[in-house]
Amino acid sequence: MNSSHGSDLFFDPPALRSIPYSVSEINSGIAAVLKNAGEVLFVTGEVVSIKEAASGHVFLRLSDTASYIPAVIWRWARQGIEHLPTEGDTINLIALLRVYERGGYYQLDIRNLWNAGAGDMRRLLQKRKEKLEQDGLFDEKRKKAIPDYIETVGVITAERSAAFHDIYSTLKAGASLVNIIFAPAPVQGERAPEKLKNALEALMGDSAVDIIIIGRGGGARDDLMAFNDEDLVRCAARSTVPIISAVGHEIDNTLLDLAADYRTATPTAAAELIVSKISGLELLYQEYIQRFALMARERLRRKFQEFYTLSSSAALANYIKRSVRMKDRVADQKSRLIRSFDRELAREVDTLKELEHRLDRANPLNILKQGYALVLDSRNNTVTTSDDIKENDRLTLRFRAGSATARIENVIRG
Amino acid sequence: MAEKRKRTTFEDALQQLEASVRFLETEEVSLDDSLKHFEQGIRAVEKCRRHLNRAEGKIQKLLETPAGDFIKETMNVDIEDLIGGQKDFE
Repeated sequence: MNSSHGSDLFFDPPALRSIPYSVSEINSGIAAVLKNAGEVLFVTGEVVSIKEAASGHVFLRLSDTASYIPAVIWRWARQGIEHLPTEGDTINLIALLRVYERGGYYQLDIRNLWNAGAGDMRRLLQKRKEKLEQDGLFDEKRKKAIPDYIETVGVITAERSAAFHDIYSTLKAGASLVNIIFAPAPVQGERAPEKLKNALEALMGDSAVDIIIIGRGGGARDDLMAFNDEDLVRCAARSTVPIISAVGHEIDNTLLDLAADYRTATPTAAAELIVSKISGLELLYQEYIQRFALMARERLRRKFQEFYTLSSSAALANYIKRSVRMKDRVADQKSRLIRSFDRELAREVDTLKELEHRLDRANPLNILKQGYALVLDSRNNTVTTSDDIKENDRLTLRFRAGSATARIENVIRG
Repeated sequence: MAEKRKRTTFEDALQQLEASVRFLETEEVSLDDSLKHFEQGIRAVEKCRRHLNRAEGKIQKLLETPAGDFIKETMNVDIEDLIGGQKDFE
């Protein structure tokens, strides 16, 4: 591989070599080059992510905010390290520069490290957070409720992303009739904050939009920086349309999470929240329709019976006897009333039947037929998050047919 | 605000329907009142239905023009395409 023709190049050019290099040859060649780059390096950087694998090895990503490098502490090297750093720490370290040949990337092989305090990125974020907090952007009382009736959902996430797929399929499965306006925008990279903000402004200005989901699937903390952008966060706080932040991550909140009206841990959870709102209202509507149809029939039938009974009572009979003309008039009124009632009733009941039928076909509640259940609390409010319940609460489970009450044994906060 | 009006209208109609149902379910009501509420209920149902019809499962996409404006276009979502697409949280 190494040129034996007097060239300065490490790899031979095609003119000197008829057999193509394999991928492994390229990677092991680069490994050999890097080995010559320096034996032991003294490096400083901020830990943007750190993950301990089941194998005992620790994998990190380091940054100086302009650029990133992966790093690893092998299990055997950990014994010499007193404290593992946490995300946001700036560390000084002694490491070798190595190529991970199977993955085809280079990384720092850490042999020792020292904490050097909080990193720039974390300090910057903390300062920004305090400023926005002082400006009242995170005030709970400023936050808008999720509307009960939702016709159109605005969605901001990356084009062709798992996040959009999850939101789309959850909404389609649970509330097939809801309209979606998708405003795609990159969720990481230099232009992401501006593009996200443009998309958000476009949806905020669309009067058809009832609620906006903005988010992405899970990523390490460095991948979520766009959702900490000050302009984007301020724009979200200005919105008159309620916003659900759905940035998938495990540890910290993004600043957008704090400013949004509602936050969910994943894009799927945001869509589920909307589905439960819609289902709750549709269920109520369906129930009223059924009770209305029942009572309308019942009431009118009972009134007819009263009328018949009254018209055959002795008092009325006497009265009728006193005047044949009156009797005729009553009979006439009676038959006219019955005719018009029959007509009216038949027509209204037809309309109602047709509406029931159409509603049933279009009813997103059909999801209940698939074995899902609606969970209601003691005040008949739909329960969508475990934050709203505590142990020993009694809940009503509403199935497609019938219902049951249940007692909470254990609450796991979402 | 337009969207605010839209929301209250559906909820108003639903409340009207509820009121009619509750009225019809009370024991002592006159025939006249029954009929009045029956008609009111039917009108409320129609109002609700008009709103529900507006939600028709339409999918649209906002496209940014080079000038920075947004235009709306109908989006044909191919779910297979979505699943087959990038799943790497981009």
